[in-house]
Amino acid sequence: MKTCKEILLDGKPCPNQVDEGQEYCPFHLADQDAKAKKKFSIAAGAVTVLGLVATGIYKVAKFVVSKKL
Amino acid sequence: MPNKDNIVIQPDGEIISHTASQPDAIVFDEEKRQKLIQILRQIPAIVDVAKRLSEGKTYKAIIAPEALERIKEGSARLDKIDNGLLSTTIRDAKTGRFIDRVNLKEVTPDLLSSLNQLATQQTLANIVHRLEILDEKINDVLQGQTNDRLAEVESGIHIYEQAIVASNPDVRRELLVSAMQQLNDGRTRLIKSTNISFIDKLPRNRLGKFFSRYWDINKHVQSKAELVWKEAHAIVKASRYLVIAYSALNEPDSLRVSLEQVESEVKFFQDKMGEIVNWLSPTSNWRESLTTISQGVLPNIRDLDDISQKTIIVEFQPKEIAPPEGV
Repeated sequence: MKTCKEILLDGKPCPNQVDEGQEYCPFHLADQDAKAKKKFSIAAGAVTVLGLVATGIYKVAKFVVSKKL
Repeated sequence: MPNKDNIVIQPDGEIISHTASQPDAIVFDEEKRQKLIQILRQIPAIVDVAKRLSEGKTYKAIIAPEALERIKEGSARLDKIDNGLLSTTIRDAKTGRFIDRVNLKEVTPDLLSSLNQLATQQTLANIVHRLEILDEKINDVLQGQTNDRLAEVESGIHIYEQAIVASNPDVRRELLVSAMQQLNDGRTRLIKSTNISFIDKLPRNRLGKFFSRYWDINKHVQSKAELVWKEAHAIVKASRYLVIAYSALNEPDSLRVSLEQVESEVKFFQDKMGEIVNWLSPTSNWRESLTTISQGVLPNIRDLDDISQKTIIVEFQPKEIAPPEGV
């Protein structure tokens, strides 16, 4: 059984064993996944906010233009 | 790898790899050493040798495994033996220098069976000691946390505690039997009901993990593992008291059967605990405890089979066996 590729904060390698075909142990894979999910959710949140802001600007602009006409 | 090769208790209480252990030997604790010295005192040849040894110096009596093997085979064959196999070697404890060899062929079958019983008791005491350390390793981290699943096992322990203070031997025996039943039932129920299969349902690859219904899989594993861990603790506790109870009744064979009945289930349990460890943070304070559990929560029944292959070593001073001249 191979041990995990991750290096811990104290500079020592992670003692956990990896599943077949993996480079990292289940804990670090899940940890990386949780971080990726967090980034993804931040990006998705940002896109949603930007989308809402853009929609708002568009609606305000449309309202102003319709008033001027 | 079988249970027995995984952990060995060092004098300082550390659990180490079996490969680093000393050659097989039974070293008696003080109480059993005194009992063994009583047996040695009844062997005239040993008393004669002890009289010739220097006063104040410490010697070692080394009883070869062949002696215990012969005991196991049946003491009826003792009379036919005259090849020095059944002998005690006496050496200087400091230098290891050979002092004398004492033939044990004059030992009566009763004495030999006492010797065997003593070796069995010491082996059981070693097993209990190993389980105590395992229990402590888990307890240190679990401290203060309640465990409902322990109830049945706790009840068995309470009955055992009542048994050891009972003055009437019949009541004591009855309570011990009742405690053993409770402990056996509690342990079996725990082994059968523990939900350890959650580990098989966890996603193993990146994509599976990303689309898993658990937002933080590590947190999910930790919450599930905590329950399993508490149940493992109860199993260790039950095993420890079962060994003590069987030992008190001097029934090592019943202990052996009780352990064999749950061995395969416990092996599966331990393997899964080993898998759970890889899902925990390397800095988690559970880690060591869980790793220890994965190496063995049951006493090693083979320890009892191996008694006849072990050398008995007892240190003594000549006056402990042979009173000084003029006394």
